Amino acid sequence: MLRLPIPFPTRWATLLVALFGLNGTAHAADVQTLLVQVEVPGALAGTTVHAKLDRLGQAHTLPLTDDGSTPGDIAGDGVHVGQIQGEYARALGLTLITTQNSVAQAVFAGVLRTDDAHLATLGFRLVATPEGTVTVRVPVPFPGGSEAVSGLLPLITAFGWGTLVMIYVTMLVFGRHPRRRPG
Amino acid sequence: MTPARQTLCAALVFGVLSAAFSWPLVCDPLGIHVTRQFDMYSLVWLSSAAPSLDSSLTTALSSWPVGETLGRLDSFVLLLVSVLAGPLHTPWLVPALFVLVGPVLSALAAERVAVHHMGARFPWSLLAGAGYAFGGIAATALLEGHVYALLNPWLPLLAGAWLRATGPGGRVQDGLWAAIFWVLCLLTTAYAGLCATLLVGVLGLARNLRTRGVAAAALVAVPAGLLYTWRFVGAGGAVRVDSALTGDVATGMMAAGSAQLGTLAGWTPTVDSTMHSMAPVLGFTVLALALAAPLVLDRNWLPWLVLAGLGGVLSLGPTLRLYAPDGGIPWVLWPLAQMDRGASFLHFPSRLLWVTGLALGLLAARVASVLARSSARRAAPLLGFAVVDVILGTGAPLRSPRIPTTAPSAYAAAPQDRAVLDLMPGFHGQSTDLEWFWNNLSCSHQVHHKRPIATQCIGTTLHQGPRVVVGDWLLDRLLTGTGAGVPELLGGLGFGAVAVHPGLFTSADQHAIVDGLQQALGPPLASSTDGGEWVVVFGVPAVLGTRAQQQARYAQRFPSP
Repeated sequence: MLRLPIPFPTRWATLLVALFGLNGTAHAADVQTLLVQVEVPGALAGTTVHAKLDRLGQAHTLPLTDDGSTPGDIAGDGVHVGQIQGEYARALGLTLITTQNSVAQAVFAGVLRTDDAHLATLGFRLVATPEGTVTVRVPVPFPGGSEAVSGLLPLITAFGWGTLVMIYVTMLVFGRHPRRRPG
Repeated sequence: MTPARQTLCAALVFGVLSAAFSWPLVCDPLGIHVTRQFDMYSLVWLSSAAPSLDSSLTTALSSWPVGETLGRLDSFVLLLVSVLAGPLHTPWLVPALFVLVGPVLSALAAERVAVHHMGARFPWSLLAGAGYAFGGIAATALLEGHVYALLNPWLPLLAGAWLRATGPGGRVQDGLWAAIFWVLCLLTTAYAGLCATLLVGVLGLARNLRTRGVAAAALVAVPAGLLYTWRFVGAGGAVRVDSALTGDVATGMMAAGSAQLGTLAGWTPTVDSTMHSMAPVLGFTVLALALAAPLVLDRNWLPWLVLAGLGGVLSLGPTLRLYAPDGGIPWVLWPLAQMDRGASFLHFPSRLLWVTGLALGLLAARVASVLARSSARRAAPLLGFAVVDVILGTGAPLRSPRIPTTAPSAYAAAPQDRAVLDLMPGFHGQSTDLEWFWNNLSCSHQVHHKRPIATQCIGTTLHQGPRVVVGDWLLDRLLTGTGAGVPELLGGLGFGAVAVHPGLFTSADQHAIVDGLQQALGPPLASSTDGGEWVVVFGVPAVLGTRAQQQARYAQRFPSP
């Protein structure tokens, strides 16, 4: 069966709801979805990841998987995803723990903001360095399996759009008839 | 279409555009806000505290027990609107009005000036409003939270009045109006004042300055400007400037508040996560039309292009960079950045793009009006292009979060007549944004619980104020297990409660702090997890004393270095 490398419709629906507020107003009483995504590069293949969360005084352990079991996850794309839902929280304490060859290592720990009333996405990328694994916080989700492409998409689109507008205005200016300059 | 109908139609268009620009705020203007950074929280605190200010602009509601002077406010217009809205007792109303109504009034002013002073025709004049009030710098103000900048019809009105005052037979009343609008710009924000000064200077050089109107304008504006500068520098110097500021640090700070070539074209998610949402994108439609002005218009385009260019060049700050927070090659404001303390008064050169947006918008409206004479049908898509620039180019509605304006209910258990000390850790290094965030958020909570707080809510320097000083002392006591004397000292300073935010501490410190407070102050009065936070409130036994005595105790126990 042909599978296009695009996100599930459910993810787009979630994003649309989050972006445009189609379901009306947002209140603290609403359920907040927290999505944790960690990109594991090929050099660290075989690494498993889980997150420990301290959220509104409650401790949670969140396994991150890449088997497509989490809504919106694309199995085997190298992005490990975990999701929980609960009462609205402006922030949480998060510890990311990787396990490779049975060796567990905390690769990130800190307080992170999760302000949005409905959907908060926390993205990370693991980077293999000679000194060990380093975690980089990334600002976007990974709809196509690559943070780099989706991160630059608005800028690339803007340059394309700008070129189009410039061409149109140029055509208007030089296509005027009569070519009088009324000022 | 009559001018009145044009104005009404323009107001409707800009109203719809404003609702889309700040979506989904219009769905629940008092229940949510849509800013990503942290300025909104101190802003809503100010709008709530404004009606209670005394004549010296000092409040006891924050920075308890010392109190806080608001002499170096970012926006006195915001202060005035807040005082007027005070009787409504709805603190989140003022920020919502600035976000939803501010751009409409600003755009409408630009649109009318385009019609009356630039020779633009409706509906092409709408481009002036879109370019000025709905550009990338407006999206930055919205997402960063300094939304008072969105209500600035004064800048376009100044342009109109100044054109009249410097025109043939410039009248005294035109000059007086120009002066009034210039002062209002200054009172809106200092950066709006700088934009207004650039506009006056550039347009003035191209026009006749020997009119009675110009003399009248100078007679009002010069003393008002000197008074403002004296007040601004006098009130702000002590808290604004870090005495350890070096040239490199000053350059870095100014560079962070500057535009980059890449952010003038578009935004990326990185901008919102690490660059304070600072993407002052220029609308491609107004930019393209304005650049075509030399080909389309016979006269009166050069000063506007110079003004737009000057604002753009200055907005790039001390270093010219493509798309990176660091590095770059020295640029026009490099010498200013080397002046250390002087540089601290121009941390955000990107905000000069307001005048660029206005100049481009006015020129674009005029150029589009001329192009439409040949074929209105072919020019019509330009209006659609401008809408695309506003919505997708700036990305404002795509980048806006929905953040509830609620506060933790545990604060309600604190004694009503005494102050609250918010206890939280200090965030340093790369986490300093969290320091601002939690500091300002605690200020916004006061809007709901009404007790005085130790947090400093207006100062722009980090890790200062009684919350930090007393909080650090208290944390040291709790973490080292030496809690003796805590109730006496806190009570003696006028505190009635300690509101600890345990979720911000490590799990090991959480237990030490909460257990230590229980030993020192007894069981907590309340604990809550609503409002998006876990807050535990401990009561402090009352100690008799006047506020002057409490201030004296604070000065004695925590002397200034």
